[in-house]
Amino acid sequence: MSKSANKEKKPPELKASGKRKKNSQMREVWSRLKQNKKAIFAMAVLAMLLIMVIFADIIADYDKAVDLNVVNRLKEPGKEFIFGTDAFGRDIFARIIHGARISLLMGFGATAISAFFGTVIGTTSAFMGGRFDNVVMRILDTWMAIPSLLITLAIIAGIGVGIPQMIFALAFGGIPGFARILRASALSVVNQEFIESAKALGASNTRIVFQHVIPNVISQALVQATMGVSGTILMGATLSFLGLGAQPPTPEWGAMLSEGLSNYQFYPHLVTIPGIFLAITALSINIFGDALRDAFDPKLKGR
Amino acid sequence: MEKTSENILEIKNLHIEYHSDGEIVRAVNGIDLNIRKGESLGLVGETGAGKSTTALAILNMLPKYTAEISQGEILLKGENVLKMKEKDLRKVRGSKASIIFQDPMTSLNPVYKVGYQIEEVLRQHSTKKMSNEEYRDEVGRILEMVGIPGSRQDEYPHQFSGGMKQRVMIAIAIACRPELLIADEPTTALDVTIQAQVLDMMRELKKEINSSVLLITHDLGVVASFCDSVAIMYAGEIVEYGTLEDIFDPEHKHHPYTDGLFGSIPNLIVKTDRLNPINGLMPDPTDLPKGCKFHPRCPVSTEACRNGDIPVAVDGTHKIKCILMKNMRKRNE
Amino acid sequence: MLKYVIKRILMIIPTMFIVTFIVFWLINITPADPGRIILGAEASQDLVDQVNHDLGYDLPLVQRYFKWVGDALHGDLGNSYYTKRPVYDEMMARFPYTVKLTFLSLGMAILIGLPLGVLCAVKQYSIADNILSTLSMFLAAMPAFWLGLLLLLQFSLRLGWFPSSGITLGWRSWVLPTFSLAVGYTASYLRYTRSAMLDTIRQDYVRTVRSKGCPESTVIWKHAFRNSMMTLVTITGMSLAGLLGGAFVIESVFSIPGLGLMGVTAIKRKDLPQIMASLVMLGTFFLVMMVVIDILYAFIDPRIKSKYETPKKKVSEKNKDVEGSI
Repeated sequence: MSKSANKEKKPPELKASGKRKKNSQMREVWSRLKQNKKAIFAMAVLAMLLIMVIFADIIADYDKAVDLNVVNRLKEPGKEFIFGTDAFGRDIFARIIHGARISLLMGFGATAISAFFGTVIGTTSAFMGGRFDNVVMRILDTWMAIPSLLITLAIIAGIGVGIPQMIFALAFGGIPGFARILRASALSVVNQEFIESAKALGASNTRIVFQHVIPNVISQALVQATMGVSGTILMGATLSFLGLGAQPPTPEWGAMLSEGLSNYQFYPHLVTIPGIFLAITALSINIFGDALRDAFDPKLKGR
Repeated sequence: MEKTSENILEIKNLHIEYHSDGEIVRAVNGIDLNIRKGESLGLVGETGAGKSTTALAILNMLPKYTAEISQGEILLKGENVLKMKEKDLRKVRGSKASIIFQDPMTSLNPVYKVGYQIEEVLRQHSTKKMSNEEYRDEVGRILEMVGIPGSRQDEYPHQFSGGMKQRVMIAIAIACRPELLIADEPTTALDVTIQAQVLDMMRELKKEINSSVLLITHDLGVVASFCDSVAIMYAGEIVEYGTLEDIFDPEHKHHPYTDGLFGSIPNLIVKTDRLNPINGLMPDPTDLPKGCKFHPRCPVSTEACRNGDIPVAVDGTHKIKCILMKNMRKRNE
Repeated sequence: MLKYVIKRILMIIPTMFIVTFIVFWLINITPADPGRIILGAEASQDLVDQVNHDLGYDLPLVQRYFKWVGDALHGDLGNSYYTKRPVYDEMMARFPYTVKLTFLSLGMAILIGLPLGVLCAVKQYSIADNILSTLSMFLAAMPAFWLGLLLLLQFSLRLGWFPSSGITLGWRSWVLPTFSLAVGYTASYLRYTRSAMLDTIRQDYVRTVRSKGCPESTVIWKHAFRNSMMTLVTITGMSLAGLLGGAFVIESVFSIPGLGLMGVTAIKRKDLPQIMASLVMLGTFFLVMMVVIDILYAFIDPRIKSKYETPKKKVSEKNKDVEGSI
């Protein structure tokens, strides 16, 4: 009962205009995020990673990350090389920095692609309804019935190993999941009056979908995408670890782990360091995703 | 009314707060209620007035982490339920006092047969050992009491309509013949025609098992047809309390809020051009006004209403919490 | 009910066709040259073409697909380009290991994650809940193969308690692989269970049970948990896909001769019959498990069950409702 009383005091949301609502919502979300200690930690880590990615070339020489240097091979972490060197004498610190670029690019890139197509497919399907919706749902159901790993592996088997191929494969597998979730939330939007009024004003379908439907489900897409990024990063690292993704000497965290295998019994830093970066990245993205979801929808807090 | 021994339920100076996100929601702010044996009390108020919170508190079922009963006591047959151990509370719930919830659609567990859900409360409280067959018969008999063929006990909730589900809920509540039946807006979620049926049935059952009833509602019509006495609740306080006659007689003096409630329902006898709803909204329960909680919305409020304690004016069985009681207008003047 | 089960089982067949075709199409998306792979770089182009022709590789894709299906129905999945042995035999020899690893890990995830998840939900905000929730967040973010490497380093290479590779040492060979694969899923299982239980615990019908005076154990297990089970069964199905994938990777870390190791090696070598076989087997296993889950689901939820027991009711509407709520 107290809950319903609480709700009443909130001003009615401005639903007629997608944009205005979004802006005020974003501000509210941001203020909630700022209050969440875990989210601040996660955002700090992600900001650091972002700095690493942007200024990778200034922080560490790319040559040090890929060039062989027999003199420096297998150095423990220390003053000269803070993360040590690998079996080819390459600076692990430099490899980590440049690896962040690849891992994050891959994670965000693949997720962004699947989020974009998933959102467009899902919202369009919900908006069109009827037979179109039925057909799309059927296709998505079948698509979802195939484990995404199967699709990913099949694509890689088909088009070969490498980073762009892997991004494509990972993105492709993620589309149906996005489409389904976004369709569900778009369904609740398309029946509201402001869509009717937009139709009455003669707006085209494309315009309605992009101008009115998508802005109202974007928060859902954003949360879903954030959660997806960490999974994609881990999956990409796994593929590279198996030799199906980034190829040597590319500095990629998963590939570094697999290169470290032959020597890690005596030089454990070869696997601990890339692994820690991988885990911390995934963890912060997960925490951030959780916090983002809570900020968008405080009712879900603590779940 | 004052004699303790007759009272099934006594609520004394009850205060309940909810804590969420650092805010304190004052849901119930010092209410007193008595229900005698066989009496039906109607607790009337808007959504958010603290009615359901009060109902849950009587069975000590408020959510543990968010709700806090900061003051007061609730005596059920002279025993304070707020001080009871969990084990003793379980003996009270469903047997001495039971509750019918507002929404029958969600109040039955979808994965169990309705018969099982009735049997569960019987098994929990039965003193003598009964065989499975006897339980079946008993469940069938109880279902018949609420007007459902006993053979339907093997069906699942989704096979019942809303009104039928509420009958099942009532069957669960009366299965152990409780001395106090709390009905939290039992008909709000139902169609109007079904509402009348369910109310009629409840009236019959009440006679049959001779229990006291606390009927929570926002519908004055329901109160008029069912209750012996009425308490009007606003923002966690009881603003007016009396017998059915005290409250419904337009010749009596009334709290402005009560007047407002009556003003917002259509009247068939006195012809009015338009209804007179109460202006404004319930106050924010995290930030209640000082003095009389109703004064921001009250058409006759004075400076004195804004500050200090509001005395309760008593006239026999009729109590009104309003500073203006001395020079109040009569309704419909 | 039987009708539902049969219908659901029969539905595997068209899905299998679609899945196998998609996989077949995808792995052939760039033209392969199996003759070259089989004969090596030295062989003359004529010989290579001859081999390609014998394998039917000069035929259009769809025709080749139906040839593959026809052979597969006879238990012939072709011969590996490298080992020259029948893929079917190899696959059947390897498949049980993958299944074993998957189910051992699933078992661990359920046995540990489920009760702890319920505990967290029931004691929400308690110290135990905070610790377990935070811990599970960390563990869920840990890549399984990395955990495998760390466990391998500590318990096998350093302490020597468990073998570092292969499956020759009985149960001791399975401890580390199972553990590495299961930890992440146990953590997510805990989180899912907690969240599902928190959902059901707040339902009105759970409050009804409390109001009947039932003990807390009845409230939690008989009512709240029983209703969470529907969500949990769905989640188990979804986890299974992930677990199978994880098994593919863990097999590589611990050199378990399962389907995954075969598939990964085959992809690197472009050994098409082996790729096809391992991916199709993975898909088949997954589809069969999904059917099992669906049938289980129908047994748990009376709304689905009764739909098929009383045939002359409006089925389609309710069906939609139930599916929408999953």
